[in-house]
Parts: sequence; structure tokens; C-alpha cells
Amino acid sequence: MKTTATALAVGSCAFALALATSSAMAQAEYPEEPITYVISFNPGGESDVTARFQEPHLEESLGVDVVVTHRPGGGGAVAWSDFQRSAEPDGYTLIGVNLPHIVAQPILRDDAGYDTFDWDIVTWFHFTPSALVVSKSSPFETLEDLVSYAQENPQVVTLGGSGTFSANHLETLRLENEAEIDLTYIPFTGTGPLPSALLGNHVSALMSYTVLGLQMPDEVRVLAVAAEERVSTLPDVPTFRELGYDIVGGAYRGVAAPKGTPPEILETLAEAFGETNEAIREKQEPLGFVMTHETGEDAVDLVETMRQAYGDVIEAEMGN
Amino acid sequence: MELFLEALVSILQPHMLLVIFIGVTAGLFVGALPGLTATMALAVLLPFTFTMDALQGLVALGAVYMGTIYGGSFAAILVNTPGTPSSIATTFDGYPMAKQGRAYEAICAATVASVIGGVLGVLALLLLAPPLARMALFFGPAEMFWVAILGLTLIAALSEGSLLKGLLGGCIGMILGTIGVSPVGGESRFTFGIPAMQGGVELIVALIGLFVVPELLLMATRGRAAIDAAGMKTGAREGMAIFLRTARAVLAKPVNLIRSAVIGQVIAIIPGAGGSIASLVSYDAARRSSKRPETFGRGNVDGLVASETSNNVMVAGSMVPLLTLGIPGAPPDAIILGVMMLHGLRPGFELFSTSGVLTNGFILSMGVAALLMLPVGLLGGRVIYRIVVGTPYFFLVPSIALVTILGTYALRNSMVDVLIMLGLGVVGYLLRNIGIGSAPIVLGLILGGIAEMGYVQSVLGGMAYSVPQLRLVENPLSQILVLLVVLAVGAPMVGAWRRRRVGKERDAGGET
Amino acid sequence: MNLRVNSDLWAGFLGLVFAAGFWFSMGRLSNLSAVFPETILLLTAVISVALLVKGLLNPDMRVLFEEGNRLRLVVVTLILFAWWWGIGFLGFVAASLIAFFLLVCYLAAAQRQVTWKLAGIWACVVVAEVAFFYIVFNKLLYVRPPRGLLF
Repeated sequence: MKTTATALAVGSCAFALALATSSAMAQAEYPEEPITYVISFNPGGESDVTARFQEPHLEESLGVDVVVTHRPGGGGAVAWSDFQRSAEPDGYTLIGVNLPHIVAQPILRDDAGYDTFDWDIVTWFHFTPSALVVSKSSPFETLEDLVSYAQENPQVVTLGGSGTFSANHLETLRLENEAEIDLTYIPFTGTGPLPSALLGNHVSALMSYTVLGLQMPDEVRVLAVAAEERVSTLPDVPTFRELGYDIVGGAYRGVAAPKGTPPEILETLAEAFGETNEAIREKQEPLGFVMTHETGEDAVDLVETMRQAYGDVIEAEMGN
Repeated sequence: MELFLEALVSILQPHMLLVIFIGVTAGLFVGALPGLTATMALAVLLPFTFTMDALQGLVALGAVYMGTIYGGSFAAILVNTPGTPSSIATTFDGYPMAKQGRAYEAICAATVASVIGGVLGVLALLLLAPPLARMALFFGPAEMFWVAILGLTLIAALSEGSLLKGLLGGCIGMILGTIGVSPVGGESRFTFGIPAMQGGVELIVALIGLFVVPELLLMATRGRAAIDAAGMKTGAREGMAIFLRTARAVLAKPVNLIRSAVIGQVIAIIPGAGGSIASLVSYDAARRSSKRPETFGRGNVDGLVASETSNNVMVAGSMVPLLTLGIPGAPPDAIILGVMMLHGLRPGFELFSTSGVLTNGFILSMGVAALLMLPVGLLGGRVIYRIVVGTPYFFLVPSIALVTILGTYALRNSMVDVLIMLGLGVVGYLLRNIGIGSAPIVLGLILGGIAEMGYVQSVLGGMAYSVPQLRLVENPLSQILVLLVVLAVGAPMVGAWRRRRVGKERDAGGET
Repeated sequence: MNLRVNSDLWAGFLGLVFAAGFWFSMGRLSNLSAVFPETILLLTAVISVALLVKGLLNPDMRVLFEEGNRLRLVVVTLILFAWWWGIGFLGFVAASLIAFFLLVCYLAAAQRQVTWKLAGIWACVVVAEVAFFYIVFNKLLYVRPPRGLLF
């Protein structure tokens, strides 16, 4: 009787051990299949181009194929809602996520179909600060010129930007509050149409990203950037803070795994994305991106901060 | 000039020519499959360009782009389906020609027109890029609104029979276009509680649904293929004779070619317009200036030539705003912009001097690609033609269905899109039966979004005025466009009135 | 059965139903997002009413589905939707094999007698064609068609 019990105990221990080692081995072996990396925007866009930059380095550091697929639509929401509904938390399906999109859309839309927090953020790897840009022929030489003109002529100054309740829009609203002026924000779909809107004088200025200032250095003048400190690729451009306006903001780009993905897998992925960031830094910084690596709790905190900042502004605007 | 020669030498290397040849051929077949667009082809090619240097990568993309737009005409002619949105107007006369047993003639005409269009677009890009780019800057929100309204006047030309029904179709198309996220405001509209509907109705999904599905259903109900295979067995010699005859006929009408090329080039630089609009506008212009407009839509080769010339002009033509201002005029251009970014190339006027060999090489390679379409198209065209005509109808119908289902799914990896495609197809078939054609619906879908965007942005821009709508007619170009709208609507009315009056006078004259 | 109808009345009626359906599902929208669809829906309604009036005064009579076999129209439509449903349920390959083969046999029956031998040959062609496109999309174009219960 006793022997049976011992045998049972030993047997179950061995079984448990075997289970534990096999699961440990399974984790050690992650990844062993190709990883699907979903991009929620059109091929050729900045998110796509960044993913293409990352792809070979991720493959190198993870040792498996990384397949970039596209699921565009609804400003990202189509892919995000589908991902939260159906992706398995096994680390083999990842999705590109964007701030403030994932904060603003669920507030704005009744049927966005996804929740701001219902996934595990692997890392926020990119930050693109907003920047106030005018054309070379513009009468506004400095931010002060623009502000004082707008003080005397409410609503006359038009600011083009990418999207409604986007980073660009929010920075415009903040500038209005901080400087006590009345501007007109005109949203465009994406950053694509912005250069011609500015150069064709269809808007007085752009609240866009630093990317634009670097893309067309001969045609535009950047008046201020919404970063904590000056951007290394635009050393002569002051920050809004230097000029006395507390405006820091822009768009973050990151990658998320389904909620409930094992922490070891998340760590492996975060490490791979971190290494990749270093590898592509040289190519990415001249394009106007600021490389970041916000993982774990920090990544969630960032979303939380954005959510608070945006929630108030959007509700105030919608109330109007 | 030196840069130019250097560029020419760099792309006349054997391996470059091979890249162009493969690109054009692959593009041709991809374009010929309904549902596979130029954007899709370029997106697939994108990872392969990593292994190439910048010039080779861009050359490959340019060649595939050129090939797909041309290949779209095969599906348009043989199965009444725009293979890519750019060949929408090619269906109007290409398919009737095919039904009359003139499919090969239509293919030859499309080939000649595409080659000429492609080459003219390259010439414009080489010689006129800076002034054309400056022209592009005049098109702001207000101008875009009027461009869209001008485009909507095409409804009159596209409605078969009843104008009221055409207008209803246009409105239905515009409403379908509002499904999804609003362009200004960012809110979701008409999603009926389905998150995937935030993505809206993609143009190519609607095109496939409204054009292919009804055609499949028609073939099924008739119990035979639409194109009769009997008596169309053309050997190589007859084929050549048809080609020479058609080529001569196309070249004998240089005005049509030049008019369509100019329209294609102008539309190419208007940001946000696309090959589909170029194709439709050139078609309408050819019809209006024809002495026998009633033959259009019944197999008039001029309509097909107009459409194919202008959409191939667009390929190189849309590189004008892309290379000089970094504005992708059409979705495939966005991918080319992406590849330029990957290789650290910055769009701008200086691109032509700082990276002169590369830029000019890329442009010239598109010219080479256009010329290569002639042999590739004539040979590949015969193959595709044989496949379509030789396949028994009971295999043709499910094969086309299979390809369209896969193609629609591949567009955005979405089964919802496939359902929308099938649903629109059946609805489109029913609407056709009560006299509401598919063309006005598609036109509304293409232009509704542009009109909305232009209107709302203009009104926002005019917030400081007492009447914000004044912003719509503030600029000289807007006023010119308004005038064109008035002419487009008014001219046929005046014409009709005059004919009636002349008729009356003649009656009256008889009495005196 | 002769489906001769007043097409103007039908177009007007369907236009009104369409406009009403969208109008009442517009929901809460800001003015920026609402102005365009509202305008177009009103326009749709006006055009539909005009069509109704024309349908009463000067109707355009048409025969619906004049050509061919109406039963085949209905069956093929149903097979197409079943194909879509089957892809989600069974997976792309399995659903396509079944739907494709059904369509081939059903449509061929309109032209000729379908024997077991012919059906066997066709089945091979169907398998080859579906496999070809599946491989092209999956391996070459990196498009992963949905998998379901089977594959």
C-alpha cells in the first residue's frame, strides 16, 4: 500500500517535473514558428516603412521569419479590433500600435471595437514630436509673429494637420489655450497631402511632425518643436517650452501582443525590438524619429498619461 | 545632358533590362487578374527590393506598376472587369468589342494606346516636372471640391437611358463612400455596429462586386460564356494582320491620343485623384468630341484608346508630385515613396540634380518598360486571350469567382471585404435590372469622398468669413472650375435646345 | 412567369428605403461628419420622389431577369454566399474545393450531360487549380487565406 503511494507520489512528481521542464523548454524554444507582424495602415506609410526597417533585424535577433502583413482601415481601428477579438496570446501574432490613436478612437467612437488597454504593450519604440511648420515665403518668422497676428485676427490663421483628435490636433488646441488665441485647425487624411497644402498656401501653417521639416528643408521653416528638448536633427529650432508654452507631444509608435501573453515571451520580444532599435537608429533619426524603448509598466503608464491628457481635451471639445 | 546619358547607360545594362522585362511581364499577369491591383503587386515586391540597390529596386517597382496598369485592360476587355481601378472606362467599349468577336482587336488597340501613353508620360516627367509640380500646388481643398463636382457631371454620360436613375446611382455610391471613418471629424459612420466596417467600402472591392459578380451571374443564367469562342481562332499571321490594322487605325487619330494624354497628365498631378478618374474623364472627352457619340459604349475603339492612353500616362505622370513634392498621387505611389525613404532618398526638386543618375535612370526605365509592353503585351495578350476564350464557361465562372474572392481578401486580409464584394455584386445585378447601372455608383464612390473632404476643409478654412462657404469660390482656379462645371452641365442642354429650335425653324420655314 | 415591372416606381421606392435606412442609423455625429451624408441622403430622397412621380406619369416598364434561367441565377448566388461562409467555417482550401466543384458540375449540366467520368476529370482540374492559387497566394504573395475546421 505504502509502496503504491510512494510510487504514485514519485510518479506524479516525475510527471510534474516532466511537465515543468517541457513547458520550460517550450518557453526556452520560443520563438520556433514565423511571427506575424500586423500593420494597421497602408503599405508605404510610415508605420509600414518602419516595420520593413525592423523586419530583417528582428529576424536576426529572434531567429525566425517575421512576416509583415497589412490590415488597413478606419485609421487603424479595423486591425486593432480584429486583433483584440481573435489573436492568440502565444507570441506569434504581434500588431503595430499608435498613440494617441488607441486612446482617442475608443473615446470618440461608439463602435471602435477595441479597448485602449486590452493588450500587452511590448514596447513603444518611436516618438515623433509635433512641430509647427510654415513655408519659406510665410510672413511668420517666429512663433511670436504667428501668435501676435492670431491675437489680432481670431480664426484667420489656419493650421493644417494630420487627422482629428490626433497628436497634431491636440497640440493645436493646447497652443490655443496656452497663448489665448483662436486658430482654425483643418484636418487632412494622413501626412501625405500636407506639404502641398502648405506650399500651395491653402493653410497658413502646419502643425505636423518633425519629419516634414526634415523632408523639405529648402521649402519650409520649422518654428517650434513639441519635444522636451531640442531635436538633434533640427538643432536650431527651439522647443515650445523654451518659448514659454508648455506643449510637449507627438505620436508614439509601438508594438503590442495579445493580453495574457506569457511575460517571458514579452521580455524576449522587448529585447529583440530594443536591439533592432539600436540597429536602425542611424537610418531612422535623419527621418525625424526619436528612438525610444518604453517597456513593461512604463509602457502602460505612458498610455495612462496620454489617456488622461486626451480624455479631458476631447470631452471639452465635444462639449462645445 | 551628361547626367541623362549616364542614366541611360545605367539602365541599358543587360541585368537592368532583365529586371524591367520580368517586372512588366509579372505586372501584366497580376493586372489581368481581377482583384489584384498595382498597389498589391508593389507591396508584395517591396521586401525583394531590399536585396537590390536603390536604382534596381525603383526600376523593378516602376516596371511592375506600368505592367499592372496595362494588364488591367485584359480583364476589362475579356470579362468586363476593370483588372485595376484605372481601366474602368476600358470596359465600356472593350467588352462590347469582345462580345462582337473583336477581342483581339481591342487588345491590340489597348496595347498601342498603353505604350504611347506610357512613353508620353515619361516624356512629360522628364521635361516638364518642375512646372507641372507647381501647377499641382494650385489644387487646394476648394479646388478639389470643384474637381469632384466636375467629375460627377460624368453621371450624365454614364447613365444608360434615364438620367434620374443615373443620379440615384451616383447618390448611392456617394453614401456607400461615407461608410467608415469620416475624413474630417474622425468619427465612424454607418458601421451598423460592426467594427470592421470602420474600414469602409474600398473602391476595388466595390468595383469587383459591381462589375464581376453581375457578369458571373449573367454567364450562369445564360448557360454560356459571354464571348463566343467560335470563329475566333486567329493564327499568328492573322494576329499580326489585326495588330497592324489596329495600330494604324489608332495612330490615324492623333488628336484622341494627345487629348487623352493631356487629360491623364493633368489629373495625374491633382493630388488625390487617380487613374480611375483619368480613365473616365478621357473617355467622356473622347465621346463628347466624337462625331458619332452614340457609338460609344457599343464597341467604339476610340473610347478604349482614350481610357488606356490616359491611365498609362498616369503611371509616370503621378511621379511628378511624388518625386518633386513627396506627395503620393495614387496608392501605388505611396509604396514607391516608401522605398525611396528606405534608401534615404528625399523627394524634392533637388532630387533631379543631387541624385540625378538615379532619378533620371528610374524615369527612363519606365519609358523602357512602356516600350517593352508592346512585345510582352502582344505575346502575353495572346496567352491570356486564349485562356479566357478557350476555357469552357462552367470553369470560367468558378475560376473568376475564386480569383476575385482571393484577390478581395488579399487586399486588406479581410473576409468582411469579400462579403461586401458579393453583397454589392448581387445588389448591383438587381439594380441593373431596373435600369441603375454600376458605373454611376462607382463614380459616386470615387468622387464622394473627395467632394466631402474638399467641402468640409474649405468651410473650416473660411471660419473667419461671415459666410464660410465663400472660401469655395475665392481662388481663380476655383472660379475656372465652376465655369467648367456650368459648361459641362449646360452645353448638352443648350445643344438639345438648339437642335429642337433648328428643327422648329425648319418646320416653320416650310410654311413661308 | 413574367416579371414585368414599373422600373421607375421600383427605383424610387428602393432609393427611399435606402435613404431612410441610412438616415436613421446615422447616430450621434458632429456637424463636420454629418453635413455631407445628410445632404446626399436628402438629395437621394428628392431624386427617389422624382422617380416615383415619373413612374406614375410616364412609367418605364421592364421585364426583370429577362435572359436565361432564373433558377440558375438563384442557385449560383446561393453557392457564392455559401462559399464565403464556408471559408470562415471550414477554411479556404476545403470550402473552395467544394464550392468550385459544385459550381462546375451545376453549370456544366446546363450545356451537356455530366457523367461520372467527366466529373472525375473535372475534380482533378479543380484540385489542381485551387492548389495552384493557394500556393501562389500563400507562398509567393504572403497572403494567408483563413483556416477553419479543416484547412
